[in-house]
This record gives sequence, structure tokens and C-alpha cells, in this order.
Amino acid sequence: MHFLFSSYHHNSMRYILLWVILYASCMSVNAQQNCTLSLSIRVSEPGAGEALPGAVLLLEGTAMQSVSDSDGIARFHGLCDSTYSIVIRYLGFRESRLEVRPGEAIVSVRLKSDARALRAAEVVAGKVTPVAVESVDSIGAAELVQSRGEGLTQILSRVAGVTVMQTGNNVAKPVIHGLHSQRVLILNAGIRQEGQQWGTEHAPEIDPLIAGRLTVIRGVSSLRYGSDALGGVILVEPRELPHDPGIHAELNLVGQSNGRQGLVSGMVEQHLGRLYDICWRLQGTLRQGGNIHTPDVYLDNTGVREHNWSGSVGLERKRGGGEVYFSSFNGTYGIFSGSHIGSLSDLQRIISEGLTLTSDRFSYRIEAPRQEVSHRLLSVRSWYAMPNIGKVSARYGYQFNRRFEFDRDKPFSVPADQAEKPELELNLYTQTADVTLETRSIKGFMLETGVSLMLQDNQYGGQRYFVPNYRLWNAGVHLLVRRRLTRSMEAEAGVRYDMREQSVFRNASGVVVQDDYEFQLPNYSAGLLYRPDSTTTLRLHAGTAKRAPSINEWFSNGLHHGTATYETGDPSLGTERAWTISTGVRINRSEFKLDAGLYYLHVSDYIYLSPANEPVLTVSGAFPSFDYRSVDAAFKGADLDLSWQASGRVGIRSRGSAVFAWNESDSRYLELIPAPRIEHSVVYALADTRSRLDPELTLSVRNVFRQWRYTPGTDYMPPPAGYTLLNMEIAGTRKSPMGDIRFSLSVNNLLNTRYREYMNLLRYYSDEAGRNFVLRILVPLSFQTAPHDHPH
Amino acid sequence: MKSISNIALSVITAFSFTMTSCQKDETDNPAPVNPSELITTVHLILSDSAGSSVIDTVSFIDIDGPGGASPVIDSMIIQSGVTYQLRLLLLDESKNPVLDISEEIAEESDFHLFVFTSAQAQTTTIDTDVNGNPLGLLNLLSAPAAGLGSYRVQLRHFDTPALKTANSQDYETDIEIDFGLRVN
Repeated sequence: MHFLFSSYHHNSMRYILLWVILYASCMSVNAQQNCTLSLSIRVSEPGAGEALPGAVLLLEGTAMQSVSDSDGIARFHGLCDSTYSIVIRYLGFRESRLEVRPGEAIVSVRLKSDARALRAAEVVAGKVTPVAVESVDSIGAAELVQSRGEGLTQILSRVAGVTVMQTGNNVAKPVIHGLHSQRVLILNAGIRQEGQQWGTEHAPEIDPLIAGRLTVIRGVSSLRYGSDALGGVILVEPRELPHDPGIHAELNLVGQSNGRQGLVSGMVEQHLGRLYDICWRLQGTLRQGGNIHTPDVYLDNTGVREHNWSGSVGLERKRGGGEVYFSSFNGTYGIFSGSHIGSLSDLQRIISEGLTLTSDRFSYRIEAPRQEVSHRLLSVRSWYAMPNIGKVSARYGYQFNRRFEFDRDKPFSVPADQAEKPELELNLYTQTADVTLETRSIKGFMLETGVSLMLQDNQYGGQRYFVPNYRLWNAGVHLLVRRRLTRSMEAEAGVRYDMREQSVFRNASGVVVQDDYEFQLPNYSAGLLYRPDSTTTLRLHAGTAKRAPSINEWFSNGLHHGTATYETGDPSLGTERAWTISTGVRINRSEFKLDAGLYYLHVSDYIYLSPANEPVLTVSGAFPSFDYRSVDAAFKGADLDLSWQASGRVGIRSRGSAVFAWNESDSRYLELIPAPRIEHSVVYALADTRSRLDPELTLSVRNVFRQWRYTPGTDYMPPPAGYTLLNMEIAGTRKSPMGDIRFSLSVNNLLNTRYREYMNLLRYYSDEAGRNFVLRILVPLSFQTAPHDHPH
Repeated sequence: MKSISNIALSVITAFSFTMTSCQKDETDNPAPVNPSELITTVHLILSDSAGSSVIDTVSFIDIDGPGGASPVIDSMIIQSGVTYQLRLLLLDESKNPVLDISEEIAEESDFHLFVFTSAQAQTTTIDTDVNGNPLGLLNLLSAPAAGLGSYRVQLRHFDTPALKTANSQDYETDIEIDFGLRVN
């Protein structure tokens, strides 16, 4: 991929040469081995010995793992002729271990029930239906440990196809295939995260440290979750509650040099044992950082403060269970004070003179402009496994989201009672209720059906009008059918229908005006999955979805400080209709993994902030005006994730994505679309037998190209030049009786490169952050109760 | 175990009803948005050089603030070779009673600076802030020759008095108005 893009990259020759050398050197290492054998293992339940799909098999001493398919069979390839140790894990069963040599015959393994918890019924109850035909990528526990201290969005950007839209250093939101905000749905612990996600400078209010796994589902195929997600769905899944009796705890410590940021996060959890079947967890995070340093200066008022906690209690019985989960997120984010401007000529002066308006001082103080955001979430869920039918689950969610935005100090004196009040205050109350039924595979058919309800109230406060109050009702039903057509082919089809009513309340000089809207939102999706062999999957997916406009697209009306634009909504805007087709291939071999995808998305009546002809004249000058308007838009792109375990010591990974977006109605490029990017990394396991730390050295190069797909004259400043960043990490693990202590030291932007990112809304005002040293330590603390404490 | 599902469902129902009822009133009855400050009106008051009699008042008026109805902006007509006194009066006429913003600027004089730009006319600031630096609420205005052009009034706002120097770029623009200018 990098050859393709290199023609417009200034460092291309040096860069290609580096990679040719790296790949070539790894190839010579790999040539020493010739391992082509395979191994198949059939996993079954105790008792009748029914096939057990979804069991995880790990090949000890390697990074290889496999999951049993619907016949209970898991396969490994590329093995050498030697004995391997395999660990089999499945919720509710005892961990099994076996020693095998690769061969033709299928090895059968029957798991044993976990006698301590008697949780055999979870074969159905605990299982999440695997997503068959969509493009799905997960960030698992290991990668999450490596990324501690980063925000949720930065962690997600490790998935090819996910990029970041930023407002300075602290506020970032995920962009999937060029789409973001209200077009990307985030599920926080199974509940649709409802903040003010329409705002480009509103980041998701989620502590990434609650997650045991982050999953990105790209494309319009997320019928299970809702109708808005044209870009994709992000699942933030908390770790499962513990299944082993005893108390487990974990401490995470992260220190960063840039911004002198510190993070402390702790977790304690306990399974009370067989008598109660109750488990609980408490988790909390504290984070504080000060002014960020670019390669040249400190940026004023770019500190961050967060305190978050979550708690859950679960009850598990033979055929069902329940869980109550609560989380509280509280963040204060400084916005670079040099980015808050009063007029268009201020912005033009900053750009033309290349100014960075800052006092170049370090401080932890966060003054205005700043955002104070809090989010509370309560989730109550229960599930029950009905014999021979399937699993039924019900979930209730309550969320309260509060957003305060404080503008830069008021120019004139203000009455004392208003001085500490935010200019913008938004309170969002959301309740959701879902009931889902997932059936067992009946003659090859698997069904999932569900009903979901949502009630939402938005209340506006503050002194600067942005969006009005509203009340929203949404009811949706969905049905998904999956069927195995042949031994190697599977098909999936789904339909979802949403009905939405929304009432908007505005106070027009003392008189309350109510506007009512109603939407019918049908979504359809179908896909095919083909597995020519057990390591290769080809997928084809097509779908269509509708999205109702969000409140800002109808009613926003105001000045955006920072981007110096005047935004006007249009209450007559209707729904968007998206059509998509995507295809992909996934190869999952022990030494080689590939995940590549191509997609095309067409959106009719794509709602889009488009430049208006007449500027808005104000007392502080004329501002360019932008109106929300419907246009036809097309997005096409490719994602690539390639990794190669060149030898036992050396692994290489390349990840890249490109998206091209076109405004068909006006025959011009769509603005604020991420530029093509690719990242390569090499992991080298150092030979260090003495300290037994298993140290690993990672070197990675990130290359972001210039966004040349830009219509000249549509921005104050042309998109910034492409850039190359070098990152390095050294990580190690030390075994202790309590568990593995992990630590790492990494350097981001090793060369202290000066650069600006097109997807940063504050790119006019300053360079991005300079070199950053990050130290991470994870200490597990396990107080395992001895098994003989529990009578059998 | 069915009881768990039953309990959950009743909890859902109970919650939905209670939550609905307690939020309802506020959502239905939004309070009027009351911006903390606006400059709706800028009067340029021209009088003779002694300031004893008003000759003309040139105004910028935008009662509803940014957006909505467009502002009304007068043009300035002056005689060449005559020295006028130029006094600025800034008001927030969206409030009742009307706020005198120029008074508030005078109170925070060391944070503010008026800058006047025109190819046709010269402006000399008379008044000073608490540190003895120019402020610009009171000025002398003159034009040497007849001509057509524009007269720009800018109010610069500095974060700290230390930043207020003639060439400082670290300011935020509170006011920037281009008045049409004719010199007879």
C-alpha cells in the first residue's frame, strides 16, 4: 500500500528503503523454518458430548489461538513436527490442557464442568452470537494494557479504518470510514451511549479502563444496535465478572512526560463462591495532566482532569443470571486558550503570521475555555436460558449526561451570580429498554429477534443558545437469521424497523413553540461468508439504512469560536438513506494474518454543513456562514491489516486505511475526511534468559499523507503536509505469585517531529504534541481461595 | 429463575414511569435564553473639537445580536480640514434597562484598546487607561482631503494588562466594524 501512496509523499524514498530492508531481513530469518502441518481438535460438552462452539484454544508458547466452530472443531495450521501444549478455555468449564502432535486425525476433548460454580448452562447463557459477515475488529486485553493512559478514541484508532477527529489534545472522537459523531454508535456496557454525540468537539464520555475488550463493527450492518450507525458500531465491553472464587485486584499506573500526566487506576473483584453465586467488582480511575508541549512551546490551558468509577454486581445460576452495573465518568478538559478567537480577522492573522498564542508555561490549571462533562450510566440486565429454545435477555439502561462549556473570560463585567455559570449547559436524560431472544441452532438456522425502546429528554441551560430542548421516543424491532448453506458457506439476513417521535420545544421571546416530528426508519442487511479453508474467510455484505437528523442539524444557530464559522440548522431536513456494499478477506494462519476490506457507501440526502453564499455580519466582523443541507455523497475506501510472525522472535505488522469522499450534488470533495495513512511496526523479542522478563522491543512508523482531496478555497488554510512519526516501546513481564507484573516504557514521536493533523479542528492554532515518554506498570494482586475451602 | 426476568421487567417499567414524570415539566417549558452580554449598538458621536456640540451620530445597530436580522450600519460623512471629536458609546439594548458597555470598558480600561483604521482619515486617541496607555473611547478625527473609503473600528481585548502593547498580537477581537466613509 505504501508504494501506491508514496508518489506524493516527500520522504518516500527513504521510507520505502527502510521497509524493504526490514522485510528482507525478516524473510531471511523465516527461511530457516518449514512448518506446514495442521491440527484439528473437536471440543464437546460433558455428558451427551454435544459439540461446543466458541471455545477458545491457545497454543502455548505462541501467539496462535483458534475458536471452535459450530461443529465444535478448532484448527491450527503452519505447525512444525513437534509436541504442542494446548489450553482450552470456555466459560463455565474447567480449563483443559493437552499435549498433542500435529496429525491428520481429529483430536477429541470433552470439557469438565466447573464443579465450583455449576455454570454449565452458560454454554447458552453466557455466549454472545458471533457476528458473521460484518467487518469486525477487536482490541483485546493485551493491546489495552499497552495503551493504558490513552483516551478511548486513540486506542480505537489502532483498528484499520478508524481515525481520530480532535479538538486539541484532550477531546477526540472516533471516525469510521470518514463518518463520525451521530453516525457512529457506541455501546457502553451494552447500552447505547447517549451523550451529545452530534458535536464534533464532544468526545465519548467513557473511561477506557473499564473495558476488557473494544470491538469495532464497520459498515451499515449493525441492525442489532440501532438505526443511526451508518459509519459503524463500537462496543465497549467491560471485563466479565470473575468466575474463580477469591479476591482479585489490579493496579494500573501510567506516567507521561508530555503534560506531566499521571494516571492511577485500580480494580478489585470477588466471586463469593458456590454458596452465593454472586460476584462483584469495583473499579476507579484518576487522571491528571497539565499543559502539553509541542516541539517548541507549552500550550496554555491544555490540561485534563478525570475521575471515573464503576461498580457491578452479578448473580449467576444454572440457567440464568442478572447484573447491575453503574458507572460514573467525570472529565474536565482545557481547550487551548490561543484557539478562542473573537473574529475572522483574528484567525486570518494567526494563520498568515504563523502565530501560536501561548505564554509557554507549564501549569496544571484549567481555566476557560474548558469543558466539564459528566456521564452516569446504570444498567440492569438479566438473562435466562430456555432449554431447547435459546437465551432470552432483558436490559434496562438509564443515563444522565451533563455538559458544561465555559468560554474564554467574559470581555465585560458580568453579574456575580452569572460569573461562574457555564455559557453552554446541556442535560440529557436517556432511558433504554431492550428484550432479545437468541435461538439455538435449529436445523442450521439461528435466529435473533428483539425489541428496543428509548426515551430521551434534552434540557438546555446556559447563556449561549445552541440547541433547544426536546423529547424523543424511539421503538425498534429487529430480526436476524443466519443459516449455514454448505459446509463452507454461511448466509445472514436482517431487518430492523424503527419508529421515532420527537418533540422540540423552543422559547421564542417568551412563547414556547413546539415542533413535532415523526420518522419511520426501515433498515435491511444481507451477507455471505465463504470459508474455502479453515484459515481463510471471504465476506460480502450489502445493506441499506436510514438515519433521522440529529438536533443540531435542525436547530443549531450560533457562532463557533475556534473555527470562526456561523452554523445554521434547517428544521425541514429529512432522513438520510445509505446504501452500502463491502467485501473483505481474512486469513488467520499462525505466522501470517491478513484482514483486508473494500467498501462503497452512497448516502442520499447526506446532511452536511455546507458553506453558504452570504457571510453573517456581526459586531465583531463578518463570519463565513455554514448551513446544514442535504447532498448526495459517496464514500469509498480500503482498510488493510497485515501481520507476519517472521520467526519466533520477529513479528511485523502493517495497518493502513484510505477513504475518498465526494459530494456528488456540488461536484466537489467533502471536507474533513481523514487523509490516507499507514503504520508499520516490528516487534522483536529480546533474548534475555537471565532476568526472565521476556522483554520485547517494538518500533513503529506511522505515515499520514497530505489530504490532497480538497477543494481549494473551502478552508482558511490548505490541509497540512503529511507527516511521519516514529514510536518505540520496550515492554517486559515479570512473573510473581500474584500474577504477571507487566511494565513498559514507550516513546511517542521519538524524533520530536513538528506536524499538524488535518483532522484536528485546532490545526490553525498550534502544532501537535512533541516527544512523549510513557511509563506503564500493571500489578495484579490475586488472593485465590484454596479449592479445599469449598465442599464438593 | 424466571423471577429474575420478571423482576427486571418490572424494574424497567417502574423506572420508565418515574423518570418520565419527573423530567417532563422542564423539557416542555424551556426558559428563554439570556445571553450574558451582547454589544447590540455602537454609536460614533462626532462633535466639534471642543466637544461642546454634537454634529452627527454614526451607528451600528444589531438588536438581536449575531445571526437573525442583519445589522444596520450608517456611513460617516465628514468635511476635509476639520478636526472632530470622536466619542464612542457602546450599548446592550437587548437588556432592560439598557446596559452601557462603554462604561464597563472604561472600568477595565487596561484590558482594552480601540484601533481605528482608514486610508482617508486620521484618528488620534486622547484618553488613557489606568496605566497611561491609550484606550480610545475619546479621540480626535480629521481628514486632509476629499475622498471615498471606509472607517474601521476595532476593539481589542487582552487577557492581561501586560499583553496590552501597541504591537501585541495576543488579543481577541471584541468589535470589528467597517463603516462607509465620505470626506467632502
